[in-house]
Amino acid sequence: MVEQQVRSILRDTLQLGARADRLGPDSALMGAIAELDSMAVVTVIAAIEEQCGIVVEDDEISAETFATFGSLVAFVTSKAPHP
Amino acid sequence: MTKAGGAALRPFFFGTARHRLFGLAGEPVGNDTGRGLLICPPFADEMNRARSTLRLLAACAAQAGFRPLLCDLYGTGDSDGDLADASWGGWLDDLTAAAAWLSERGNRKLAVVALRSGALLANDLFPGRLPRPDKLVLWQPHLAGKYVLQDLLRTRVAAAAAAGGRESVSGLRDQLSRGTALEASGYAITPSLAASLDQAMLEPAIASAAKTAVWIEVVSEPNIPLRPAAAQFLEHCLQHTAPVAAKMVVDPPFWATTETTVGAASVSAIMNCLQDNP
Repeated sequence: MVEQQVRSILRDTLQLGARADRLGPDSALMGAIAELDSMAVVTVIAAIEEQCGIVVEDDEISAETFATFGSLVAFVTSKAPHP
Repeated sequence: MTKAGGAALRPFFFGTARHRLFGLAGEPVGNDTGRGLLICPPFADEMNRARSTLRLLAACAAQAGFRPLLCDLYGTGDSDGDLADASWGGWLDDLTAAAAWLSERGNRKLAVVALRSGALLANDLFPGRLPRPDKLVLWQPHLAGKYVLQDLLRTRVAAAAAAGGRESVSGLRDQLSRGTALEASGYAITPSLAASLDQAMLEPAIASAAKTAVWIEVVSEPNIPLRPAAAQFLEHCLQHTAPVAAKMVVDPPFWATTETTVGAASVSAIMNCLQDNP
C-alpha cells in the first residue's frame, strides 16, 4: 500500500509516466532521476505528508532517504501510523 | 484576450489608483445566469503552477453563463505592490473588492471556488465578510497555513543544501519570530505574513458558509481514499456543522508538478457542481 502510494506520488509530481512503474527497491532516485532536484524533493515530501498523513522532520529530508525507491518506501513505512 | 477551451477572458485592472489589482474576467456567454464566480487563488509556486487550470475554469464558467473573476492578490503576479508589503488582511480586502466588482456588474448570486491556500482565505471571508455564496467549492484545500509556510521554508533549505550550505526550517522560523524577514525561492516572507499563515486554518464553520459546500479531492487513480487529514476534517464538519460532499477526481497534482499540467477533470467536475441546482 505504502509502496503504491509512494510510486504514484513520484509518478504524478515528477511526471515520470511509465518510468514510475519500473521503479524497484534498488532503483536509484536522487542523482539518477533528473526531475528530482532539490525543489522537487520538497514537493514530493509535501505530497507524502498530505497523502500519507505523516510528518517529516527537517533532518529527515536527507540524501539517504531519497537514495533509492526502496529507502524512500522504507522511510515512509517507518513513519506511517500503525493501525 | 485569451482563449483556453471556453469563452474568451479579458485582462484588466481594478481596485484603486494606488492599489491596482490584475484581473482576468469572462463575459457570460449566451444565457447570463446572473451568477458571479469568485476564484480564491493559491499562493506562490502553487499559484504559478495552477494558473493554466484556473484560466480554464474561468473560461468554462463564462461559457456556461457565469461571470468569472480570477485576480492576482496584492504583491503577487501582475498586481501592484511587492510581496514584502502584502498582508493576509490586505488579501482578504482584495477578494472583498473582487466580489464587489462582480456584484456591481449585476451578479446577484455568488459562487466561490477556492484552490489550495485560497481555501484558507475563503475560510476568513465566509461567513461574515461577504454575503453568503450559493456554492462554495473547496478544491484540494490546505487544511492549515502552517504547512504552506513550511513548504516555502523547505524550498529555501533545499536550495541552500544544494549549494553546500546548511539551514533548517526551525532556524528560519526562529529568524521570522525574531522579526526578520527572509526570502524563500524568490518570495519575500515577512514576519507578519508568516504569522498569518501559521494561524490560518480551515475551520468546520466553512461547511455552513454557503448554501452548498463541495470538496474536490484530486487523486492519481480511482479508488484512492481521501487524505487522512481531509477525511478527519470532513467527519468533524458532519458532526458539528454541516455535511460537505466530497468528490474524488482523477487529475495530475497540477498545483505541484514541475512541468505544467492542467486539471481538466477537476474543472469539469467543478462546472458540474456549479451548474447543479439543488
